[in-house]
Amino acid sequence: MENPLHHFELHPLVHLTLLGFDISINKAILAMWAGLAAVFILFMIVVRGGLSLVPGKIQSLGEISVDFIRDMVNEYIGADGMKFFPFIATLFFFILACNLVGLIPGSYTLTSQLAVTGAFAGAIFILTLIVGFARHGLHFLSILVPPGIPKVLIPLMVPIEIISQLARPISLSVRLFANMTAGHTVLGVLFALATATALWIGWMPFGFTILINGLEMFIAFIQAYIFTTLTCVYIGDVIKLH
Amino acid sequence: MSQGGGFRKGLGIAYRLGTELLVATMLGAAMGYALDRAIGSEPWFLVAGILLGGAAGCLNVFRAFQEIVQEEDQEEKERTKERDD
Amino acid sequence: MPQLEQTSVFASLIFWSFVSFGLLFFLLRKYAFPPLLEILEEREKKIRGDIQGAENLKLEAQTIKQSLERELGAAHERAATIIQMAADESKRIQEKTIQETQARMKQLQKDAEQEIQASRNKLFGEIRGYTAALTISSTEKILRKVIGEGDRKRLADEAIEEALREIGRSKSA
Repeated sequence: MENPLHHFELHPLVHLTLLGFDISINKAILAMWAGLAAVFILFMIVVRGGLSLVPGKIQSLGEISVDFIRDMVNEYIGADGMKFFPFIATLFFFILACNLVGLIPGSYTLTSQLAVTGAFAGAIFILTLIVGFARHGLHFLSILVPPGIPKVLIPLMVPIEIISQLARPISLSVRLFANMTAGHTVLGVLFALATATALWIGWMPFGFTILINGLEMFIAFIQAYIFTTLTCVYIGDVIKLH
Repeated sequence: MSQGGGFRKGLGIAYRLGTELLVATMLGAAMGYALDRAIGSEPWFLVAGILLGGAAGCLNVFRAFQEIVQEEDQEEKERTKERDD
Repeated sequence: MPQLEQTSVFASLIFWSFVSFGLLFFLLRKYAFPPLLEILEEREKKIRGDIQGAENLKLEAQTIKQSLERELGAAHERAATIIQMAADESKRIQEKTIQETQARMKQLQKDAEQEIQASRNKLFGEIRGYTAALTISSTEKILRKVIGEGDRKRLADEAIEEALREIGRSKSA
């Protein structure tokens, strides 16, 4: 049996370079494009014929998802939240599409790449820094000093707070990456078992594959939800500053 | 998606708290280790880093917990408000 | 784990995911989110309006109910007054009738008494007349026997003379 992690390997399909970087197009990128295209097409179907006050099924779906993100943004970021709505909503649908498209056998989950989740988490971290400094100037640094602690503890609290702040994007990216990788590894192992064994016993892992696939779909939603919620929380934190 | 919000939130919390502590500790250790390597003071900064990282992890878990409590309070308030209406 | 070992693809993955994210962000922000958000707002506004309308209707209904109750109370009061008035009127009429009847009865009684009195007086008069005639005739008979012829003549003269004086007095007057 082949290594269950083998299917995470990527091979360039179209060779491209930009400023000396290898930006070859591979399976992961194609899968991502398929997922994003599906998101965009779904939204276009929703808004195409004009929206009505009494929604149809597909319009309801679009409305519920948008409403859900809007509530999240308002709850965690606050009054200025709607400025970030397009970003947060795109982030949610981007991650959700990448998570879900990977469940199609033979496809690839972009979010199981720590480099990608890390890049997004890092970008979000930098965004929160920019927002924080733009809003509060140098006063923003007071986020490293929790309110109401004795002055003696400040030298101790500042390093703790620095680690705590830096740990946020790392845990954000590691969580998504780990969950996606774990789920797909399990699926890969089960699927390999199903195809490698005789039919009289092979149906068992195959049944599990279907079951786990359902579970993974749920986890795909949950992880997209957690990633975007935490992004909102972090943006909200730098806006409210305690 | 708005249905079963409690379950969804619960799972979200479970997934969050798990990584929070581990990542902060590891980050503290890594930063301590890097500092040790840079100025050759093994293993003191590694030890301090692990301790501070653990503390930072606890802080993050505590914050996540606070958010949850706040959320529940808010929901409770909304529910009582609805009942009053 | 290939995701950590296969570093050669990182640049490509990060580059394309950022580019694609940016494109999706641009497209959704331009085409998808504004109409959806707008319809949500619109619906919320409509629902708020509906609730407001329902509340207004409720208020209106309450006002109508209050005025109805007021009118009903007034009607009750008026009915009570009317009944009171009718009762008073009937009582008054009754009393009047009784008084009238009593008055008539008194009148009748008085009339009857007067009639009785009158007839009694008449009877007494008649009786007195008869008695007088009887007395006169019996007295005459007695007198004729007692008084002589000469006295009778003198008395007659005196009476004539008196009558003549009487006439002369009435003439001079």
